[in-house]
Amino acid sequence: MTRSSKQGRRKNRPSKRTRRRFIKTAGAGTVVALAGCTGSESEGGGTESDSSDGSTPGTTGSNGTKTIRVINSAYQPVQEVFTEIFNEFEQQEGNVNVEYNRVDFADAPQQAAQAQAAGEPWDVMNLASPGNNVTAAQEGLLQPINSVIEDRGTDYWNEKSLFKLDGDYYFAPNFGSVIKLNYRQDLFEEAGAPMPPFDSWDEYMSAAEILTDTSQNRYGHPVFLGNNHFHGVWPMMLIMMNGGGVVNPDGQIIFDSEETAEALQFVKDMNEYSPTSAHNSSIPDMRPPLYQGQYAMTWYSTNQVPSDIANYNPDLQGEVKVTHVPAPSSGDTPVARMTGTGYGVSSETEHPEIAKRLVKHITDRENVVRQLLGQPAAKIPMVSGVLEEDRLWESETLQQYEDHYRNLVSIAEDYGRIIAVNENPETVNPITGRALSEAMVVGAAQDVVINDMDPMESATKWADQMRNEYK
Amino acid sequence: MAEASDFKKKSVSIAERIRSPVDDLSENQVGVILALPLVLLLTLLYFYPIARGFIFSLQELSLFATSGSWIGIENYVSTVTSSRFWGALENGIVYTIGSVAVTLVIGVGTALVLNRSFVGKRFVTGLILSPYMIPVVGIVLIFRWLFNGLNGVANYAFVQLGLVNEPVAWFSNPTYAMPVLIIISGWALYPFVTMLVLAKLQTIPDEYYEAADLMGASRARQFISITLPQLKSVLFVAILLRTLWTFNLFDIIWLGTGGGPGNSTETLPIMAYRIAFDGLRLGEGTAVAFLTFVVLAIGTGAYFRTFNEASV
Repeated sequence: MTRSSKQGRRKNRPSKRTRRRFIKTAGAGTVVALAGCTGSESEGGGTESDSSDGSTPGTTGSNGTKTIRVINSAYQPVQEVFTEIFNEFEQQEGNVNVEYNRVDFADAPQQAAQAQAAGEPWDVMNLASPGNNVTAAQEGLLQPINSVIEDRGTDYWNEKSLFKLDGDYYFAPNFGSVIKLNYRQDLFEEAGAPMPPFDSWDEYMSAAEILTDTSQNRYGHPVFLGNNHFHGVWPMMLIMMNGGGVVNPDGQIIFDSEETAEALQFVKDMNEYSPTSAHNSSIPDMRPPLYQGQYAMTWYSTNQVPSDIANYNPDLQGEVKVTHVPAPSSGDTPVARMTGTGYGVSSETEHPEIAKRLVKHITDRENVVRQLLGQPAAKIPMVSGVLEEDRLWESETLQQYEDHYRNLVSIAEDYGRIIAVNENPETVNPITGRALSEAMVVGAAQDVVINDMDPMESATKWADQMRNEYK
Repeated sequence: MAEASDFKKKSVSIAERIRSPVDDLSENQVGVILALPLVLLLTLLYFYPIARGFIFSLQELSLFATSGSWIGIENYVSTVTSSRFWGALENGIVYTIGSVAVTLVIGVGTALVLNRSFVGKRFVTGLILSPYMIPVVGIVLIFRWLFNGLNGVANYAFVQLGLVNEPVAWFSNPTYAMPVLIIISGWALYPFVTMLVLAKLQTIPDEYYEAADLMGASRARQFISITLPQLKSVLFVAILLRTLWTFNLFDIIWLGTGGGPGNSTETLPIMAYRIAFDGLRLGEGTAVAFLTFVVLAIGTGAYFRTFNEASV
């Protein structure tokens, strides 16, 4: 079945999904016991009074109050901002109750799929990664929200973060993050290493070598090889910067290329300056060694530098800098993998117009500023003009980290790519869109570094795997 | 006479009126009726999801998808012909044998200690059983902190003692990751064996040991000739249950290594999870889960055939 026909069928399908989805959800429980995977009774027993939003009685209370269920994976301080924003929306609307649930980053897609399967979809959702969003849209979990995007004009949004599938917009971006390299300026100066930004991989590796001193338990650059797709981001960027990729615009797998093999070889070479313990590091464990002095530089997505310095080593104020991961040579363009997921509306929502209004409310510029201030400097804006907002710079943290934050936003502006969307200009494809492709890329890196496989052999093996899985 | 006859007729009539249809049923039929609600409940909550899961395993089905396409046993064929499956099976066997062995040794040892009288026995009993009271996530986090590859206490101690020259990446090195997981599992789960064995030890008559003492048997001989044979039935159950649970164990491995580095600690439940929920391929993940069930069923059958009679 083609993607379009799937979506078409979904759009036209009446709301008789509960039974099949319930049993599907129950079946998923045979794989792993999952708490709370079954659906519950609908909240309201009353009749739908407002037919303008296509509502059915399911989430409308006896007093006419409509419930909009929202899911995202915002961190704790930002959750509070979202709660305020939702309260304001309830007051604006008068007869709307926003039920807000925060789920873990990794759980967001599962939670969304299970809720939809159980017949109680999240009306408004942020699925935590572009790959999940692309897949969810392709599978018909989401509905187009062209009116939300076009009402404000496309200039309102960060162009790179807009996602279009078969001519329709599915997400309204609010903020995102960009992969960057954090480095300890003090350690670089102490070791006399070439200071970033690096012009080439040679310079990058040279610095890592100079900074590595195993007798001091200090390493130039960790090589993370965990099984989470996130660990595949760095090798994926290296491959793309080297002119390689996973799939071409015609949908053909091109992973088994010389460019991939060269990038994998670079990963292996950099491993000389990495502790073995980094290989299976969990995602939260990727950062602390930078502040504890065991890593001289490390890469990450969400910018946690201000809070990490406060938590781990306040003496490092001003010493942890941010730069982009370099390209192979000065003639190549760096790639900074960016996420700017935004909010989508469920294809099964019973209140589509209210849900779209809520998405507009969330992505209102002033509200985006408030969200960014919930955890200052952590995220980059995905709507335009935010850096010009005075209110943003009232934050003490942002005043302290102004240069740092502006550098971070510049990395996104100059080199940022939402790989799921930007990899192929005209084609949003399932392979680059899915987190799975990064999991396969890290699988290739694991084979080269851990299993000592020849880089080209590994690239071929994983390309075959991709062809097999996406045939 | 006529009155007596009338009375008898009335009595029969009343008895017929108050007679319930259930009274006409046989004992077996009543039993079936009484058991029916439970059977229906079990069917709904247990067998039906399993049947649906089996159907999913015969489909190409994304976790996000609203419907799948039938592909027959393709998921099973592709799984059993993949090296990943056999690697995960091997990892599961190694992990299970290692963990069960560690829990048995520690469990029996601590039970033997607790079976003796000594000052502070209650306190020591509480201490020994405490791993069962700590959430698994806490246990794994403590071990991850202890065995941190860069600055863990274990590395510091081992380097200071000269046991290793440099810090060891316990959770990131394929050589060490599995043994560390086995140690964590052994430590977390041994109280179950302790409790079972201790209960049995307390039923062994003292006269057996007194007679053995009189005959000059050493402690080791008493353990081999009296204690172990008495424990046989309990150990049979302990090994069986621990094996089933450990082979299906998910949390300790997932929290400890996530199946890594690479796939070096990936067992079948971890593989099923990663395929279904990380890879979004629900059909294939369910097939792995069913294959896990088949493996366990075969293993359990073989275990019963081999050891059941010997344990009685």
